[in-house]
Amino acid sequence: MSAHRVLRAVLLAGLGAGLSAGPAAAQLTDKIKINGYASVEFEKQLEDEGKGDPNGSFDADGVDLVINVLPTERLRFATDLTWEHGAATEEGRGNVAVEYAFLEYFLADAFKLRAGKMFVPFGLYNEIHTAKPLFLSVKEPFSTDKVDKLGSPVRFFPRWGAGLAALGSGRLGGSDWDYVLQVSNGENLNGTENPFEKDDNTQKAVAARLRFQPEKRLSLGLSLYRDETTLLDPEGGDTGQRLLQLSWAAHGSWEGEHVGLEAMYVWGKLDPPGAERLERAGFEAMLWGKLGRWRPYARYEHHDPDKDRADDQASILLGGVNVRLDDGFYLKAELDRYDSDPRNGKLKGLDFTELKASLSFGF
Amino acid sequence: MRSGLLFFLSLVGLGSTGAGPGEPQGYRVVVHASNPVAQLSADEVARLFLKKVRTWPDGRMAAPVDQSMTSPVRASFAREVLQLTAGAQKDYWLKQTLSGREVPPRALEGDTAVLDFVAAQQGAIAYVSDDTPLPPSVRVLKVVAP
Repeated sequence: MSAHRVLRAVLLAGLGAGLSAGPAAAQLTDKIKINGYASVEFEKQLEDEGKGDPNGSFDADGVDLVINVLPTERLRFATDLTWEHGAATEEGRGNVAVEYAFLEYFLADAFKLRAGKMFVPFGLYNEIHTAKPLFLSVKEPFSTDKVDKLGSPVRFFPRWGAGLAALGSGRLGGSDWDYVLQVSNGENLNGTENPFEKDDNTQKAVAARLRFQPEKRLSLGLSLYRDETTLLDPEGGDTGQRLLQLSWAAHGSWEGEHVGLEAMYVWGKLDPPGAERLERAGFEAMLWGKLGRWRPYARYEHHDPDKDRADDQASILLGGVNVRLDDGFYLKAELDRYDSDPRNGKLKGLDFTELKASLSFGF
Repeated sequence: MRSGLLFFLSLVGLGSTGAGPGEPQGYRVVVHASNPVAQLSADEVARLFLKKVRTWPDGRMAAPVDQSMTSPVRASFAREVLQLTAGAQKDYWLKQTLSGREVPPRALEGDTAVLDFVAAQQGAIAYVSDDTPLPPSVRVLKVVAP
């Protein structure tokens, strides 16, 4: 029996305890579906100086339970509950979070409604960035999805939004398309409110993504995120002024029989009233091969935290291999080379190499 | 020791991404007898089973039913209609499920269970072995090339 079957059986047995086995199990698998994933990582900076981890550390990266409840054929409740970094909250270690929890009601193929906490639908990675079995590399691209690690003050978009979304898919001239339009509270950059409970102003954040598949193996898309954040005075009062955050991206991927590639370009601005606006950009391009169980890959990432300055940029060149050990079970190993300009706010001009490896499993 | 060696050889030998569930098996795509749709293209059938489309042309909800992942009839159907290996199907549904997009169709064990379900569900679509007798409430859906 494979590992994922054992884990599924244990979970079903636990949930079904006290019920008669046959009908209860059938009811459970028809109406409630339990999936999940886990990953363990190792990182080591190879040089003495750098911004990586010179100690070489294991990271109990995450354990997630994904639960889908299907009360009717049109209604779905979906949630992803995560325990990150060996969460032990009694000792203030790790993180426990709801990655998403939403209700989805199906009205038509071109129109479904969601309500709840959702990933922000932006680009290629955000909706799968925690589900490590779903992508080849150890981490998602920092240059587009974690730019705070490469010198930007905030990310191009928040990970999550609490609100409503409309989404759907269809065909146009024999080609597939799909869209998501999400309206949410947005991020609270001041940390004064829980943005999944209360907005810090009346302006709602809007995220949208449109994807088109001119042919089966090719996907092209555009993403947008816009929000306004309240600016506080030194005493913490609302100044009435708003910081505009606007980001858009163009992205695409192509997957052939033996080779695949993807690319994403993100442009963003932070526009504070009465102050100079900050324009920034991020880019990533990845190429991979398909050799049976093996997926060798290489990726180039570049981030410019301030387009008006020339001495603050950062890049990552990484290469590695992803090996499918079993159904849903992957070994990844890669070398990441970081290069940065002297005035990059995070990397400070330090150039270094990191070895990253992980085991990830999804079921 | 031997199993470890075989595992290593399977890795370096660039083995297939999914185990083949058996010999090719003929199949027929079936629907409820009251379903007004007489035929679909293979691509349209694939879109229903991959849940890229969840409704019939008249707007009724479709209820696709798979057989178990180890079933030879599923392997034949997946290869010819979905154009996916068993491993690729698992990868597809893992991505759909873990990203919150969609959950896979229900999977039933064997032709009898599948035919019972299709007979009871007007929106159902399924596949069974081509030599399995069909009850009066189930009929064959003609699948044509796209």
